[in-house]
Amino acid sequence: MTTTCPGRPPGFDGSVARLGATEPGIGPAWEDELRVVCPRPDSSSSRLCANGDPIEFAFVWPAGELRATCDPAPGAAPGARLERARAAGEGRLSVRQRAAVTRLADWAGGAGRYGGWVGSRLTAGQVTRKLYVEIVDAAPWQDWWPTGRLLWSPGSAVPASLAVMAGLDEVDGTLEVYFRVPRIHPDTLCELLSRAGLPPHRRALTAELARLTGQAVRGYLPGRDQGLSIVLAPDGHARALTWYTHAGMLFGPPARARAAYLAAGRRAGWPMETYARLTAADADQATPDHGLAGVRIDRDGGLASSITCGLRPPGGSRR
Amino acid sequence: MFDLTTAREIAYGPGGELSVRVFRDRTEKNIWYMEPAPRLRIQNSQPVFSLTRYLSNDSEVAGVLTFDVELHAPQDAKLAAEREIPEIEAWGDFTWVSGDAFFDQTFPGPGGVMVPLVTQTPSLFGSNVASFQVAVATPEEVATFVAAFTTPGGVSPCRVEYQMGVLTQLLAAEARVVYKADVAIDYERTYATKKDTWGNRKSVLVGVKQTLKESGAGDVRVTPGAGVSDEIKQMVTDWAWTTLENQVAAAVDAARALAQGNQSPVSVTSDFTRTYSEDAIVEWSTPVSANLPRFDDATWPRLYREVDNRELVVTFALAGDLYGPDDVDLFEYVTVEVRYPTRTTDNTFQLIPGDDDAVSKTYVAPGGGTFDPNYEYRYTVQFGGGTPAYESAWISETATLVVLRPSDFGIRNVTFLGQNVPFGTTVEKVLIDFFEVPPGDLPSKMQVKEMTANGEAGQVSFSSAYHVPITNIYNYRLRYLLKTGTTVVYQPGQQFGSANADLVMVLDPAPSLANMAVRGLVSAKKKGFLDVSLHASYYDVQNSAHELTHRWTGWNPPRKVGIQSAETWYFDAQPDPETAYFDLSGQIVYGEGMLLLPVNGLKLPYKNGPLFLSDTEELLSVEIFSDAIDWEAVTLVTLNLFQAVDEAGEIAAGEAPKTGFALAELDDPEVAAGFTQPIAYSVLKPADGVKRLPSFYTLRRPISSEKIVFYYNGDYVLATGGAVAVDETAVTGKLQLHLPPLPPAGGGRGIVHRVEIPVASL
Repeated sequence: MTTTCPGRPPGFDGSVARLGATEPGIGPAWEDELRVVCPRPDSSSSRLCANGDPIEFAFVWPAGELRATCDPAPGAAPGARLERARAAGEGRLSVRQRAAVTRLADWAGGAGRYGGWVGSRLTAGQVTRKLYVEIVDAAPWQDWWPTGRLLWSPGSAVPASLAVMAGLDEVDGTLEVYFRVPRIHPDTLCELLSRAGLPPHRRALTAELARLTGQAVRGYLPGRDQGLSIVLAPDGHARALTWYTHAGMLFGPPARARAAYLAAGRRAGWPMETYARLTAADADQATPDHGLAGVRIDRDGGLASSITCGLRPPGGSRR
Repeated sequence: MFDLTTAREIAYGPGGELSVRVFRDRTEKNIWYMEPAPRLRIQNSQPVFSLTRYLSNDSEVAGVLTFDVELHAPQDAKLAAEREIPEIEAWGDFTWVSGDAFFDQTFPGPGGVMVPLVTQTPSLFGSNVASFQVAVATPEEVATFVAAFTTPGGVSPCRVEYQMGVLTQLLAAEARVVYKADVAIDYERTYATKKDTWGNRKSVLVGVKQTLKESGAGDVRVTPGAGVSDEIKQMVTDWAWTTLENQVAAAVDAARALAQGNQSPVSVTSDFTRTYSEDAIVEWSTPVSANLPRFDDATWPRLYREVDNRELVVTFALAGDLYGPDDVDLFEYVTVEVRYPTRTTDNTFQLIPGDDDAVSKTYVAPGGGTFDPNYEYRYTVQFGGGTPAYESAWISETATLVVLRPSDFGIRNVTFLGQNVPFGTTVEKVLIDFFEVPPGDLPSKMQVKEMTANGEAGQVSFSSAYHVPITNIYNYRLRYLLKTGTTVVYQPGQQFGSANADLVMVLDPAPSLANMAVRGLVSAKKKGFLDVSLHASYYDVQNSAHELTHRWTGWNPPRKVGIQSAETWYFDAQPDPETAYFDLSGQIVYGEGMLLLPVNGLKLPYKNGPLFLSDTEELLSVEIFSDAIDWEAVTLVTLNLFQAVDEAGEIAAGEAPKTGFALAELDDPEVAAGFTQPIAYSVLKPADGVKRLPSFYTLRRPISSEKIVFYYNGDYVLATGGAVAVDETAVTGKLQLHLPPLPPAGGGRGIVHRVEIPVASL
């Protein structure tokens, strides 16, 4: 395949071609999988990405893992999309996880903003899935998980948090709960980590953000809209906490985000080739949209940075 | 002054989870400085904190939260630093030159309880106390606060942040900050429907902070000097972003005066680039923040009260630089007396400068029946040293926070500091002309001082003490005497005294990147512009700039409703804001009816920012001549020009004529809504090297209107004291306003005149 990235039109075919060009095998194998979970990959009416893309890639470093989140039914009603997502992602979940999905679906009652998504990742040649289910506004989630008590009460460390989504991973049986939170302070995060039984490494997170953005964190963590997710192991213990914000709020336009990750990756020796190819500017010099930037703190003190990117520039393709 | 290249991060507290930054003094190697942290203030072993709930159903307020915070250097942090850095023998105190404190918090609850951002001005002395008062809207929100401060464990979720400025030398790196106005406009247009971006006056800085980076309109480039560590580079980058945010916030704020009608202030900002070279004296600022504590069961009952009716709660605070030369207090104390019907005794208290326990006072009067926000207060200042005390008249007020600034006591201190002036090479010295309007009939005079060195060594201060309240406004003019014998003049507009310190940075007079932007406002798809062709010449006669020209040919702005930007013209200049201008000629073809209007000698003042074309208006300029003024008798002439606008914020074509009214009437928002923001001109008495040049005002005429209407007022401040107002001046045939030598005595100050000229007569 002769692919010169900058000239390639953006979109699903272009993105798959870019992936295939770096790692032979990944393109065809994964392309089939993505077409199964996202039957309309060229749709521009999905609510998954701000620009309407129905597929969003995510990179996680230092390992350089590549993942995708897909809209199984762009343009469909939330209830219908959740049905499709469950059909694609519920099959290999544990009994406990399935019970959680049923409860979340009952809470939603076919309503909500989007319903659910399907995550797909290729690990050691094996394709695995993660089911994402929306937590609707009216859901009484506060008393359901240990995370509920951590993140909701008038006197909680993080005020005004709201559970928005659950992710169920078929590989390790974990349940990841995603929260929208107001701007939070590193000290608050530190307190939260410590309450969740995770290592309260305040300075590790802020140092990583400073390394990525080129700007020290003084005061609150940057970005107006922020999110947190907590991964709960099957035994109910927290396994990791991830802090998110919009890449646009951290870096500005996508080209700046891309430059920042490439520079940080180069300094840290991360594998950046796939990311660099996938996000190369198109013929109009536009860089694919970047979504959420995150930093994860694991139970063993490990740290990981992640970024999501769409198929096309913000506002869709210029072509 | 501290040396920022010596910055060290010190871990302290249990497990070393907390950290502070320390710096060494530049000359005294055994003196170090510690960045302080905020904390709740304790007075007489009690937290200065109170939450009150009103049990009766007041429609607006269900309770009030008041508390004082201050800055301090934690003792265990000092001990940790001393262990790590054995050479520390003493701790220095930062000399703050500016400061702000913030409290903002979002809580969960029905519909998401939101406490709006509260900004406070901390005192610049002692422990920098800031007194907050937060009105709590609903009983649910009061309950939320109660839970936040009483739920066991850790600290409360409520957080305060300080941003304090301190002078230092940028030893480590060169920093360049860049702002691109058209990117910001584009961003604002895209997101205008989503949020109130930069338009909210009180939180403009917060808005800018939130949006500058994500819009891509701001950029920072730091070039580290030799041997500079990554950490120092990081600090300088961080500081440069803060500086850019502050400058953009100031630009947006200043642009409010230029934004006409419904224009957003962002659309009237211009690009700028500023480079801070190594060695520049800069205002260093980094935010520090901390959570407020939670209270135990023994303490809480003393801090929380429930009362039947809403009380009158007013915080009185001293702010500003209250020290004179040699750090002497400018006054001894202020006695404040409050009059409110429900509290008849114990209505008098003292505020004492430099005393953290007496720098502010929260006055509480019991509620009774229907809440009445109106109260009266008066203050008496004891200056000491034999100066008679000043007692104010009774002042009617409804504000819950009364800040008493030095100008309220007739005291002003303004310091000028050289930042990057090439003394010794190109600049001989800088003469600073300083002028303020004296109160009452006191004689006025221009103070002139010389600056011959950068930094604190060469700093020049102007102090005045009238001992009666003065307006918080002053004017200054910088005259750079160059070694070549020429003079470069820089006179910005009127300065409003800052909340707590007045520091003017005197910059390099060398030409730097200036620009002119052209924007077109398309009001409807069928209107817009078919063709804009303009030729611009830049003139700065005062500073003998060579004529520079630029041409926009056949610009055809997209006919999309909103603001469109033409390519910006960049050139090197050091404009005198008071007199530099662009002379424009060419033609504009308006979309509606293909109307062609020539542009013939339109003079656009440089300080007015971008050329803002509207598809419903023609631009014209008024030339203001000040060469006839009798400068033997007059020290300053202030002039305001403005136009009437209709309900939609467009220049009014047929407004009801109104003349002979007082400018002060515009203080009433309802009256002000009928006019554009007055553009102020300050004409200072000439001095050596200063030419007598005309000023310009840009007028807008609705294309459909047959006449041009504008309003003006002019006041002459007399050398002998007092002021007289410009009488009605005939403007016919030419758009020129000739200021008379000296208006006849007796003319009331601030009287506004209306000028109406038929287009056909021009």
